[in-house]
Amino acid sequence: MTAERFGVFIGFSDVFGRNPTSEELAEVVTTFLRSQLLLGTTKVALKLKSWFSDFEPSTQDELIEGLFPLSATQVKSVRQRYPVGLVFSRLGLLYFIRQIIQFSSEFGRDISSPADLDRIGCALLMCNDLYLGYDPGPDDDVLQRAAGFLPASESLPSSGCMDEVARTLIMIRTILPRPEVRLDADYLDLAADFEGKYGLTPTQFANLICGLIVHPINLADRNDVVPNSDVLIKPDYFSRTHLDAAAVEKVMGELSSDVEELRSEMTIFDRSIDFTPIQKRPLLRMRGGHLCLDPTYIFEKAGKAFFWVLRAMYSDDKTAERLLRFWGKVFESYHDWIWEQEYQGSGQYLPSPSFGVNESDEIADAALVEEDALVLFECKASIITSAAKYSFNGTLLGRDLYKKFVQDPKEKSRLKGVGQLARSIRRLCAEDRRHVPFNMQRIEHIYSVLVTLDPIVQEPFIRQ
Amino acid sequence: MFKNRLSGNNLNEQFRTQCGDCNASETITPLFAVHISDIERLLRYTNARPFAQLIRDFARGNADAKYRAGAIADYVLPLLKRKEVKAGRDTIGQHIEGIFKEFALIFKDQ
Repeated sequence: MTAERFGVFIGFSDVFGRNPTSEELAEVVTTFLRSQLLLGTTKVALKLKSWFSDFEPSTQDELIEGLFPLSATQVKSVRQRYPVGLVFSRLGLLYFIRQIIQFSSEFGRDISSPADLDRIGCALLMCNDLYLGYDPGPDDDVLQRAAGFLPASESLPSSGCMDEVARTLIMIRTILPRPEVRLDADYLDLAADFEGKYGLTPTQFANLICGLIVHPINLADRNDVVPNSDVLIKPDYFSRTHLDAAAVEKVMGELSSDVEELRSEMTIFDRSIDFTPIQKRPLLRMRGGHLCLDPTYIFEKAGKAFFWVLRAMYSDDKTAERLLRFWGKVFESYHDWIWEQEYQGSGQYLPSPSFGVNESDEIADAALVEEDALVLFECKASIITSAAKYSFNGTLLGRDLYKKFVQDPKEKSRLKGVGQLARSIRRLCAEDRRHVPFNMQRIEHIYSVLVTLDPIVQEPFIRQ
Repeated sequence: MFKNRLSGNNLNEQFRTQCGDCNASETITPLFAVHISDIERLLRYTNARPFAQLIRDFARGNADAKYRAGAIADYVLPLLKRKEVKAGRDTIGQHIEGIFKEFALIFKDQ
């Protein structure tokens, strides 16, 4: 199953027997007109349904026919060797878009001949060779392997985007009003602050994001060739909705940038596989409307990236730090809530159990007692930095994982997540057993669970 | 004492280091690091099996898989399907339906 899940990227080197250089790729990109390259890449993404996690071999073959008028036979012969071989992928397209933004211009020439199309197809193949910044070695430890695979695996489409949107809205609409959240020392009225800043409620914002996602989904379902003008999201796109026009314009402004702005962001996030600038602003302002550079990144704005939308509301560091702490509380409360809603077993779920003497002397964020099993939960809303995620460096990644989930070296007295669980288990095994809210004499198995909001723990090797 | 250890040296290594060699009679399993969506999905099957068992099987699936590890669909659900167990409440799924209904209402002609 694992290889099929991960897929095999077919590169220029597999087809033509030599490694391409980044200069070769840049040369192709600088030759052609930027707008045509961007619109063409978007059409490939639409055909591919790049937001979709399922692999569709027939789509790969159709795209090979269309984009390799001269080299299709060679590309197909390689693809036949790999049943799950990917010539076209979301990751490759993101890498290509990054190259287009960085190197192309308005003064390139039209894409006008089969040879031009074939050069672009070959450029996409080059991307598959160039974006992989890591060759696994036999001596690599688990962390190095995790860091090596993370940039690629994180860009694979996820099937859980809609779940993320639902969870985010529950956190805002259902969890924020809960008493334990409202009484938290770091409480922020996020829903009111959001409406004040953007002119839309978080629910309306999610509706707007759904509306934007409908655009590529509808285009992808059309059987005819999509005209360039239809690929753009027109300024009147939301005019038939009840959403306030000024607020829509404001949010579209927050979600978009022009080429120069995007290029300048790319000089800050300069790792070639770091797509943070596109992730931050997935819409590109063009003449005639907005171009959606990546539908998944748009969708994530109402889901796993919603925290960053909230973060953008607060410009001062002090409030931003408060938000980070408060979001952790909201997440912990959400964890309690989902257990209230869905647990159907016969065990006892205990939010914030304490060692008994002092209520603030917490064993864990939550505990579950099920017959002779004790499950302890620590919830962490911390997010691993993009610098650690896209470094290909196991040491850097390990340091950030340690800081976010075990112990911040700057706060030596305060353990987090894993550190808290370990300390509590040590205490439960050695002392303090009389006042805990369950009978430790009956416990024969202790399970410790770190629950994260950052999906990084689902990536290869991280859980181990 | 950590019986049934799984392999690896990331978060689990930290857990073992931090926890030390607890001299107790309980069996302490290794740390399970999971995303909240894993909890949401596992909870749906607590109508059929204790959560502790579900998460233990889930972690075993992770230890076996090298790449996209821990997909519930690949490990836990086939075990349940063989026993013809149906999933219970799906809170997230119900909310998704609600979101689609709300989305339809933003259009003026609805």
